[in-house]
Amino acid sequence: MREFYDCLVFDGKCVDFGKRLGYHRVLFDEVSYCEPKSAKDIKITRGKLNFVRGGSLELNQAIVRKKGVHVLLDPVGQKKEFDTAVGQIARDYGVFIGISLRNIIDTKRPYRPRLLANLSSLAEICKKMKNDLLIVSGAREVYEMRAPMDLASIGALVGLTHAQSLWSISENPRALLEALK
Amino acid sequence: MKPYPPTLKEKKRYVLFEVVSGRKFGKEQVKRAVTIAVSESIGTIGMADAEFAFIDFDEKAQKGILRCTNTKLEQVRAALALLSEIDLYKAFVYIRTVTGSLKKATLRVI
Repeated sequence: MREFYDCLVFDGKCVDFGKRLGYHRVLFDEVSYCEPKSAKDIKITRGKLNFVRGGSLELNQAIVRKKGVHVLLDPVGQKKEFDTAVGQIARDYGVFIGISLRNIIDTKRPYRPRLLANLSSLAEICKKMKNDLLIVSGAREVYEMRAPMDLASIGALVGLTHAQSLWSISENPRALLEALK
Repeated sequence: MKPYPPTLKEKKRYVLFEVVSGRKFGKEQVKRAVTIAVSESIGTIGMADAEFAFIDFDEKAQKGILRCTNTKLEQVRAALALLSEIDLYKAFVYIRTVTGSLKKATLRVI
């Protein structure tokens, strides 16, 4: 049976709640998260999975080049800040590309279509450049968590096939955890 | 007029869902919130394509049933995943199961 992982939550209560929803493992203590404004602000914590939120194209390039970064989270927002060059560097440096559900939920009505369009473009580039994708909830509280199959359906929304979506919440997180060991 | 053969008819899926929140909601509140969420995500034409329908909601168990076609199931699922509040209260929709017949879905609500 397939084991599902939610790699990024911001509340300890989500760990137990995630197991009730059907996750094999929800990562809270094992994760370090930072939102840098510039390349100098990128913080790396040893022994943890380092999620770094993306920004401009230059920042995204700096993030994927930085040693110790495991996941580049939400590299696109209202602008397409991810191209094949960044994708190639990310693949060469073994950095995963993450999409968080929280980012989509927080983006309200007039801006959401643009975000989804940019995420579709990101997914297309990741397919082309063979980047490893992750879909995470990024939940700050239990009400922001979703069941594994619902999280996978976000993949369908951005143009991934059902198999690719399932892969991004099961096999890719497992590979990421193995890289941490 | 000759009726459509079963092979040409759209296959329906019944989505059994549960509303998870700190408080209980009425049928009309959930119906409005779910319909708006799906409409925002897949649009009016998408809803028509999906033959979307809100079948029923049990206020006591906070469980309900939706209907859509099998081809649009993933889109409807994604639309429900993007629902984050009902009447300004934090809530989410947890899809318990998807069935091919209304009878099975109804049995599981009870």
